[in-house]
Amino acid sequence: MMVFAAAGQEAVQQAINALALGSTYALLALGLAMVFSVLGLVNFAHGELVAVSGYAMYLLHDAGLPFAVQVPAAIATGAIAALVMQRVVFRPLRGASFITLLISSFALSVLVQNGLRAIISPRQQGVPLPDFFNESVHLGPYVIGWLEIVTLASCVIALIVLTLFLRRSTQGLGMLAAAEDFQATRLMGISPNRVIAAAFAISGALAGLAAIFLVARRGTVDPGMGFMPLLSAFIAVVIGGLGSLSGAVVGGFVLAAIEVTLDATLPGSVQPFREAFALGIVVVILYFRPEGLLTRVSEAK
Amino acid sequence: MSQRLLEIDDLVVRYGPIVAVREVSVNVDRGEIVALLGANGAGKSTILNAVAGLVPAAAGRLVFEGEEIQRLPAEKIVRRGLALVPEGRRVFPKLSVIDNLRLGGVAQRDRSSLDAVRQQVLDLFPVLRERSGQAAGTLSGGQQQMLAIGRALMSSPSLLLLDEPSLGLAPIIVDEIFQLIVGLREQGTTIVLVEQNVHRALEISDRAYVIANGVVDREGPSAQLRASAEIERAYLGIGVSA
Amino acid sequence: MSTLARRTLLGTAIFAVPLTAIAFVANAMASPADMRVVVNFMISLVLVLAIQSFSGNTGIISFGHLAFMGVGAYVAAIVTIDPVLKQDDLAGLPSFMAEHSVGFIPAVLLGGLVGGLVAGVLGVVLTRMREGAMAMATIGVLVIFFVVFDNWEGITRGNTGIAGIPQSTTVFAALVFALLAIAACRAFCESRFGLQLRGSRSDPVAAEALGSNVVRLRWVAWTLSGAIMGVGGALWAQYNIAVGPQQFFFEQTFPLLAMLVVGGLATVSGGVVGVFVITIVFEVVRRMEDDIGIPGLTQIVVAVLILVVLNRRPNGIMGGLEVDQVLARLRGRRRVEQEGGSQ
Repeated sequence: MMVFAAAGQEAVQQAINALALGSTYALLALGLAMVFSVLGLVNFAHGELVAVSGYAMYLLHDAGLPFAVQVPAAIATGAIAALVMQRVVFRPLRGASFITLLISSFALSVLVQNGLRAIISPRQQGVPLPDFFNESVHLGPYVIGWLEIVTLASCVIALIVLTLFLRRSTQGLGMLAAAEDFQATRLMGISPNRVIAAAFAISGALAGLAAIFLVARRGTVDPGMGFMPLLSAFIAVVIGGLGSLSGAVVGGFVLAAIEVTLDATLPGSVQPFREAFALGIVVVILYFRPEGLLTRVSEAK
Repeated sequence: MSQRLLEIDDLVVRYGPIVAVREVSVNVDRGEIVALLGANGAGKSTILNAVAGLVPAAAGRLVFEGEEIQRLPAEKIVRRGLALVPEGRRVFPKLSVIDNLRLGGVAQRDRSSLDAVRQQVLDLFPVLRERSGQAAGTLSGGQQQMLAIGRALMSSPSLLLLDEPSLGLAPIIVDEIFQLIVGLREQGTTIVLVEQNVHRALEISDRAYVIANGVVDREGPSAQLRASAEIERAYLGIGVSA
Repeated sequence: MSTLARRTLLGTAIFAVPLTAIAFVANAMASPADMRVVVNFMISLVLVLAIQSFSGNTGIISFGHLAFMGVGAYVAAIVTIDPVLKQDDLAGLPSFMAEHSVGFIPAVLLGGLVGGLVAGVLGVVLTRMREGAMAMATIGVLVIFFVVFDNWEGITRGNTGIAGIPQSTTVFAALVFALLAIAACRAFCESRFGLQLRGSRSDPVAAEALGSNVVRLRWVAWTLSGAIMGVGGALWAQYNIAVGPQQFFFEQTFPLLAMLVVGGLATVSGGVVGVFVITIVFEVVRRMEDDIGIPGLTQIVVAVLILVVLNRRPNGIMGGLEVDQVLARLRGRRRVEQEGGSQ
């Protein structure tokens, strides 16, 4: 009996980890999908939005400002940085091919990363967070870290707010419409520039929010910090189906579930290959569903 | 208020090196139904898309309600009361019927009238009221066409451009759509109609232009064109290959 | 002579002259540091053209090709180093591999073979995907191979990497393989496969109707380019004498893709011109970087260069043309001018 209880407990614990990890992936993947759906751009520099937001927290912390200030600042920085990227780099490339946009964003990513390296420092910088995040709560037999709880709760709230905005407000509805048929949206009297700017601002804000939890987990920032999370978000987007907003969120959680499950089940000797196994599973999923989990073939055409 | 609602003056449209429309001139007076006829690829849809601002005019003038609009983008033109129902309907398939109509209302100049206009549109198309919560992509072709027209009417346009509204619809639905067009004109909306269904278009229109290879081949009162056997032959001659 | 053969020969010959000259001059008078630049330039030609032969014909960018370069490099490393060294360092090797070593050419061919095999297997899944999704999935390929290189201690020595590879790639060997790569990629581009692939880009539906199976065509291009990438990796390993996982990851992907898009993805000539331009920019800025003391300046300059070029010339410096086409046009224009003048 004891063994079963322990196994069940272990599973619940893992599920909570998967949800917390998945929600961070979902925030990033959703931002990528929003920009892709209106502009056809897979934004490699999305990871740098995370980095820039992280550095905003670091600089404010350095200036002696409390966590309560760093949080909104990180979100605002993400949104503003995304708007600047779109205005300076992507707007002049309107109508360019998928590859041109992709490579441009790749170059932009390298530019911002090395810019941070040159201007601030190539080394890691510590951003200590409130002790609160290291504490846990005991819920019956489960021990759950506050960090996981706050991450999950914030992401759920962000997703609800965003869904309400997209479904209820005219501006949000215009963005959903633009994702389906960009030209027809113009015929409704909706400005494409505003739709695109809104998509970037939201994707940046989501990246800023994700940055808070990534920094909280690491306790540091460095110029390349956005890279690995971005890779996960890319994979999540592909799992869910490129261009599908709900697919991106689902993909984030699916990827996290795969990673956490492998983490818990793979024997120690092959643990270092965990990511390769996770991606291998993704490849198998894609073999059977080349369009991703949530994209029907008819829709994709 | 001048009688002339839309004036297309020597319009030229290019797609890269290809000239799709060359120096076409079309006039539309208030309260008219004007038909643009011709074979597939003759340039009819391109003319409508240029008027609506979706494709740029390489040369020529577009005058709507006395003002030049050829430099305005599509999203500004619709806000002046010129709405296009594009070819292929282009409803937003994943959004609900009512959300499609809400988007049509974005260009409504009189914000306070939005609810009343929506009720009018739903009265006009009772089937849309029945299915208001359904995703537009699940509607039948005829219902989608009604939604596309209803969506355009949400901005209370003074000029409505209809691009092939009968395309791919069952004959009985086509009757309904054409009756509707006549009804809209009676309520004061001016209409430009692009159609391949020549007989029906000439029946309900006041005047018509025949477009061939990007130029106006013939124009005149619809009754007169209908009587002319030549136009039939000319059209059939081109139309066979389409 | 067929059009294919004529264009391939002409397209290769135009580059053969300056490249051969560079090789001879370098051989006669270059300092060891400059020699490194020249040989790596020639090897980069092989690598960039490998990516070009897939991306240029399909219009699908690949971030995963460095995985195949890595495969070729590790294969070459394992089959060439002295068996005595293997016994200590590469304990995981099966005995027939641990006890024997092969020379330069077999190592290069093995690198290409294994690179092509690995690409062929992965390609079965990848080429079924839509363009955008495939481009992103290639990122996953890169990560998978990085993780494997980084952790397969018995075969790759993990994070440490393998050292002690004999330096067999001479400047002339690199030259020959660069010219072979130019010829192979141009021939593929002009072949029925290449033409059908590029036709399928502008209109996949029409291409299917005409009987070309886009997925199969893509698979052929993908596998071929994986094999060339493996060859490039084997050359690279046998010149730089040590391989490690970081050399086949994102940081090294960036300069190769930069070369490809700056010159122009669509043509072989674009690839060659891009390698030339970016190599020069890299070297000039790298030397300045040491003086000025700004870390990452090279990357910043190349990134800005890419953004500016793509903004001004979305099809790269070559603008989607082969160099022989450019020359033919210039000649045509001159003829028109002369005729115009004589009247």
